[in-house]
Amino acid sequence: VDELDRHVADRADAATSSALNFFDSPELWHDREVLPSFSFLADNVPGFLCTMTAAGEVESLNRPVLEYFGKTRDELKNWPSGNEVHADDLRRVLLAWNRSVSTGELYEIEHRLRRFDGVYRWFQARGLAERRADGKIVRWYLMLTDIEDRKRLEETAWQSHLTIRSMLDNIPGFVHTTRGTGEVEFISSNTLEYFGKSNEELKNWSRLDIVHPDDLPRVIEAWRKSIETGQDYKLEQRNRRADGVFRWFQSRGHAVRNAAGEITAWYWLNIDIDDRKKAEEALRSSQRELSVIIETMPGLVWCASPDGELSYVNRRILDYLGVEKDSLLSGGWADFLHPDDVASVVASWSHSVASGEAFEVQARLRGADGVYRWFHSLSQLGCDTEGNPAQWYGVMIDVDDRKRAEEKVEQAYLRLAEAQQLSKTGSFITDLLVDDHNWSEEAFRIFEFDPATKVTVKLIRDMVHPEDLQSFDAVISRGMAGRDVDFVFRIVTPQGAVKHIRGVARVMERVAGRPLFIGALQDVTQSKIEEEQVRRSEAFLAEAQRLTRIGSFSWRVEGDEIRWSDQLYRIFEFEPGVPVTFDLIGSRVHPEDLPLMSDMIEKAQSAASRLAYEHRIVMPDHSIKYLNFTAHSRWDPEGRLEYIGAVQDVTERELAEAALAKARAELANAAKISSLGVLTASIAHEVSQPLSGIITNASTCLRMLESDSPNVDGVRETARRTLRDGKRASDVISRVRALFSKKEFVREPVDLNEASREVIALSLTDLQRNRVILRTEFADDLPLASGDRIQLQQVISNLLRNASEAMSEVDDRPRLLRIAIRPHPGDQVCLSVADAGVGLDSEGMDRLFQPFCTTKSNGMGIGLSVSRSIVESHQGRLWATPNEGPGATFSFSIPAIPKGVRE
Amino acid sequence: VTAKRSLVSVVDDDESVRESLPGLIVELGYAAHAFSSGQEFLASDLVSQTECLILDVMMPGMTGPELQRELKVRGHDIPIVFITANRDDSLRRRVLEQGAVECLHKPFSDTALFDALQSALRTN
Repeated sequence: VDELDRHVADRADAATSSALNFFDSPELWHDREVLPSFSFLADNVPGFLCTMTAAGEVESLNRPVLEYFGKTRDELKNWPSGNEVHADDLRRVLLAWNRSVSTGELYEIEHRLRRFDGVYRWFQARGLAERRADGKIVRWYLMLTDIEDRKRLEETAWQSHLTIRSMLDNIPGFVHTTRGTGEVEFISSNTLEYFGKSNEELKNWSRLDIVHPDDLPRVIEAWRKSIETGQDYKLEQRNRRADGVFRWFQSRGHAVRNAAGEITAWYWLNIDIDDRKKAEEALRSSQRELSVIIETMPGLVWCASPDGELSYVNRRILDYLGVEKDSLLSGGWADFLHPDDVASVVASWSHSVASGEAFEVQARLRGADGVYRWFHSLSQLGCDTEGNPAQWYGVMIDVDDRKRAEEKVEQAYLRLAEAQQLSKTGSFITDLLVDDHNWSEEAFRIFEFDPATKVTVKLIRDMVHPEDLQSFDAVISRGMAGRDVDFVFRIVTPQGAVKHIRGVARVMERVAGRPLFIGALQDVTQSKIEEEQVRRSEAFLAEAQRLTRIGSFSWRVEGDEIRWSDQLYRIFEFEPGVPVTFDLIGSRVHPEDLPLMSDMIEKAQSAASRLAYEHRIVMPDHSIKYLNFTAHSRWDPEGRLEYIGAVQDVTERELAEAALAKARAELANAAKISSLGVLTASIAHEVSQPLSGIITNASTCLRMLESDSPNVDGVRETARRTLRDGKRASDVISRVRALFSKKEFVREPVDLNEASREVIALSLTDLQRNRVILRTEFADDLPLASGDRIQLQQVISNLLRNASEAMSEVDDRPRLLRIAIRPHPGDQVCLSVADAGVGLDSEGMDRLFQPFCTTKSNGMGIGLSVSRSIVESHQGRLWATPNEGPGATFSFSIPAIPKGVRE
Repeated sequence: VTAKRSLVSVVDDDESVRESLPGLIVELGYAAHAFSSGQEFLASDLVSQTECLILDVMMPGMTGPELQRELKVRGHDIPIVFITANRDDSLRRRVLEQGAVECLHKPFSDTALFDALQSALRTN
């Protein structure tokens, strides 16, 4: 550009140099000899000349001036008022001329002058003052040079200069030039503006801090290298903006060479790439971020080639599976899939790879810890810009917790359904106003509707038991009014069964102003039946208590809360419902039994598990009741001690027992008496035997003594036998006495073998008369029994007699009677009498022990029942069993005295 | 002493009788042997030598009348004197009808026995 300026200037100089030479030689002007010829010269120079007075008025003009303007000298004398000077320039011209006239300074100005044809042309006006020796101005000499062509050229060059400047200032870059050696020549204005430095300052750019310190060394090195070698310069560097901010630039330099190849200049261009740089940085950072995201997102990310080959897996996959990337990429998923899922996954993947359709599957993958977890796997085939398949992008999300939660929810739902089924409780959500009902399965089951049934109020109402319709309708209208309802009604199923339905519905929320009910309904048929049964069994119990005279009670020890059944009130003859207290009870208890009550309360305080007492109460009419009281402890749900018990009025039993005991005694006596005749015969027989012996022996003795030579030894022996027989007779008598004595029950050790032998001895006559063959099987080491010897013998005697009589009509077989005595399990001794008689049928067995029942044609039939009473009073047992062969066996067992106690 | 004494056999289950009676019989001038049951007597070799049998009526196992019947069956016509502690006249009558020489009630006197034995041995 400067070159251009220079060029323009050169041209202007050349055009005016000759004229200037003239004016620059004033000595020529003072040479008078020259003057006439000067006038001639003035008119013929190709320039415009004029002289002006010291006051500035036009004095003379050369011919070219007059020709240019097309005016006369006189016309031009008043030029400032004419239109010769361009209106736009006139003021400037007058100012400059007036200043020169008043000061005498060189007049020099460029301005436009109007030609005769009206066209303005640019002129350069120069004027010098002619002074006298004293310095006073005599005259002004002016030369006007037509510079129109120069002006035009200048204008053109200027315009192009401006264009280039504007271009340089406005291109999106910063331009400057240097000489071939690197000195800065030109710097574009936007560059100056950017740096906020002047042209001069920037010439020493390398010493300024405009390049980022980190970049400066390599900038200088690259710059030096380019200047030295002429190679293009290209570098990215940060430059400091005027406000101190560094921005990235791409700086390029190119060497300009002349025809000889010498570097004449460098042209430099700096482009602001900060935004690009930032964008790149942002891109890099977003790539980094993306990769971090992919690696850290809680999902397993993978890629595969369009043909299904695994190509990428993120870190999380490797961490989860516990494998190396390479081995997974080559081996694939198969090793990690749950065996049950392999088939479905492979099928689904193959389909997707073949069709390009999205892949979606749920499967279990085995983690590094060996545990399988559920993953939801999704994959989509991504395409490149041309729409060709590029890559499968897959992600697997750990849904194990969700899966388990789902399973739990499912289980919970199943359990709920099951619970509903078990409890026969259905649930529902109902919008009554639009008759919309959402029922649970169990609700359908209760109503025996098909689950697909569209439930309506009418449908339900059609099932309602006719008697319950009114209350059902009331419930519905209450519900319609948006109020909570409880209901119980019956329905009749299509099969005709009646079900009791109980339910409750609450307003859950209001939807569009309408109440939405949530509720439950329950099939309470069973409990209704049970309630009825409970009511009935309560009635039964009350009746049973009344009949058996057993009252029941509960007694919570803490706080003495006592509750009585109605029957207990009746037993005590208190008004039903009167609060029961121990004071109240005590008012009835027999004075002698009051200590029992205190004892009971004491035991209860120590939580005895069982309480049992027999006591008496005295009624207002002074009658006495015998009560049997038992109670068991329990802990109620609150952990409080409670006794539940029963009280039985055993007055009648007590009285009956007393009467029975009396009757038994009487009967036993009667039995004895009835046996008397038989016994008398036995006694007679028994006594007559030794008696017979005594008499015989006595006769023998006498005869021996009467002989001439008495056999003294024989007499002595015979007398001894007589004594023996006497003793035998005496024994018989004492036995009989014992049998008939009125002795009370005496418990003593009894040798059953011995006792039986005595009875056998007494009964023998009887047995023989009945032709009974007797066999005895007595155990040797028999423990002693505990009991009343005489009473037991009475039983044995009775059994023998019965057995004998049972065989009285038997003629086709031996009348065999076996008596066996042996130890019996449970520390008992057992005696059994087996006959070969007519035997027993099972019906007869039961009646056998009843008094006055007999299979015999004679006898009072009282023996067995008395026998049983006796045995039972010994804590023993008497029973009969039919024999395998003919006949029956009667046995009794009674406690033995344990061996250690025997002595 | 040279004359052979007639053998009187006693069958009674009662020990007192078995002990005392043979002594008296010997004093009355007969030979005597006691048996405790009919079966014991039948099993002995003294049946045929017995000229008189003193027999208890009531015995366990084989009763007196049964032994009487059995001896008759076997062809032993031995005169029998029954002895019994039972004062049952119907029984006495019954055994006498069956051919018994006498039926004595225990206790009986030595003369009653002697008469009975004499009468029995006379019938023999």
